[in-house]
Amino acid sequence: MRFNEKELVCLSRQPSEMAAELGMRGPKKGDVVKRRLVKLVVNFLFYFRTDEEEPVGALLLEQCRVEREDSQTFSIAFLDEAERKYLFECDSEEQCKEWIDSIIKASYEFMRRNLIFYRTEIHRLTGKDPLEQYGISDETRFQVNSGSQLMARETSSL
Amino acid sequence: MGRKDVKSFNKLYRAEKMKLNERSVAHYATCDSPPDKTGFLFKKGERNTAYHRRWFVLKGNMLFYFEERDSREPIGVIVLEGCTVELCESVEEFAFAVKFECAKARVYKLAAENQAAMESWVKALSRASFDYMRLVVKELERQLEEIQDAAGAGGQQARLKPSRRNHVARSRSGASSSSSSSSSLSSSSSAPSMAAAQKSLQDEVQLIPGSSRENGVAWSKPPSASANGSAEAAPSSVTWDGCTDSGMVSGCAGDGGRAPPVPPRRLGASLESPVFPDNACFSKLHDWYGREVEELRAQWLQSHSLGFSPEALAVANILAAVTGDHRKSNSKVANVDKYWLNRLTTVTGSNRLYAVHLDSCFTLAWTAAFFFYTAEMNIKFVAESFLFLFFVVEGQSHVDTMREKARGFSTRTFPSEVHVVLLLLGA
Repeated sequence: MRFNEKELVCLSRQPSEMAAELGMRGPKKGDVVKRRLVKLVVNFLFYFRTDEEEPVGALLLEQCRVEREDSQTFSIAFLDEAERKYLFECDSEEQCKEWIDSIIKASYEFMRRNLIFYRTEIHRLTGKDPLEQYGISDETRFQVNSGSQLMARETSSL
Repeated sequence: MGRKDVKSFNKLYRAEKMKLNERSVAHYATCDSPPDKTGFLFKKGERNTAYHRRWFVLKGNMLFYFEERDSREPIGVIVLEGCTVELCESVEEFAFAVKFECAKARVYKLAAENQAAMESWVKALSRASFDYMRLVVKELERQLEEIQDAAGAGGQQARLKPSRRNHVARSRSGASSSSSSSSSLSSSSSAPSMAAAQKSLQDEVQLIPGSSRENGVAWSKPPSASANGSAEAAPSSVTWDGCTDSGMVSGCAGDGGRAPPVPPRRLGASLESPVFPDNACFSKLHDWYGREVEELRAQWLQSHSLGFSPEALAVANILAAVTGDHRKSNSKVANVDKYWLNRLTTVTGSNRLYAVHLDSCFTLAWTAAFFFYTAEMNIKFVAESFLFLFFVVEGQSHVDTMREKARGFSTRTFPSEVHVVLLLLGA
């Protein structure tokens, strides 16, 4: 599958608050732990050899599961291949927790759900759709469920 | 060659292509999560200048293209971060271009089949970036906080008032939140102070798409362990103390400036979302949810409930909401409150479909734990959520029974694929 590698490399250079050297192990049998600079940018997890400027690779963080493996290690597995896990060894429990938290929130789908939540909540509290003024109320990506329209929550309708 | 030589060689000649979890990315393209837009577009080839008709699928910030509409795998994907979408001069009609900011970047030239399609695609693609989504979410988060500040001042219980703020959001939108709004929750007018912030977002929104580079800040910085307000640490220490059968906990209400109730903490992670910072005691969550469910129950009691008990319907709604797909559940619960659905889906983070057999607490706890486990969440958290819901609807005694039974579960006993039929409404 083709992808716009140049642009992804460029993306990997953006500043990010979540970047650290971790021990990383690939999902294949026989993969060993390697020190990598791991960096979270939007919904991608880039990993670099510690002295290089261009990433070795990237993981798109959609449809994935992040799990704690032990006190300082977490894993990322993708739903289509749930047994193949990428392992990440942190330096502390604290750091591990931070990474897990950040990665969970790094997916587009997670953000979308938050947006929908806020939208419905604001609508519920004020009676107004907060997206209307930006002219984006009808955008599919902001809809409540599977592209269907947001329904007004009026107490009388129940 | 030694290792160093290989590396220099690779750097020089870019022999090593950047790796990507391509199989999973392709899976994302074809999995059943709904796409944001699909359609045929003409795409200009990489080397030759001919336009090829391809089937395009936009999901989030990923634009996939397939050879045919029914192809099983995409030919390729364009990641839509840091790009702008413009109309372009071209021999080809209805053409537009996706341009990236980085040096030596490719320009992707696309063409639609008619004017309307072109406009629609340009709009959709220019709003597809993660950055854009993040911006909108931050703005809404800020708005919500303002509304809640106003509500809190009015003496109502302050709900969903995060004590941990993302300060970047404030500076970006350029407005400080004001609690001087006098509008009450029930009025439909929004606080005057929001107008300025809204306008600045409007400006920003027009400037985007996807070109906001200065935001190098990660989303919602995770809290440190010392957190806020609540002293609860692990799910196992969650207690039901002080909770009455009516589901209200007077002690936890009206916290004013404290952290809002949140679901119990997941193993190894705090369930921080912009709305629910760090964990809080379960009884607070109980109180918060409890009010919602009480409202829901009262409303069901008044409405024609199709012959089923209001409690049954309420629970069905909640469960359908949590499972995230009310369309597939028994058609008799067709009136699921979408608002409630979204709240729970957001909080629990799951939108998988598993309907639940409800004639025994045992099955409920088991099934709940199972489907959330497969949806990436900690079992205990989910089991607790269901216990909570059940408690609110049915009372304390059921909870105790369920807890006992749930304690005996282990992850290994769950089958890989289960659909349990919704009997609640048939019963």
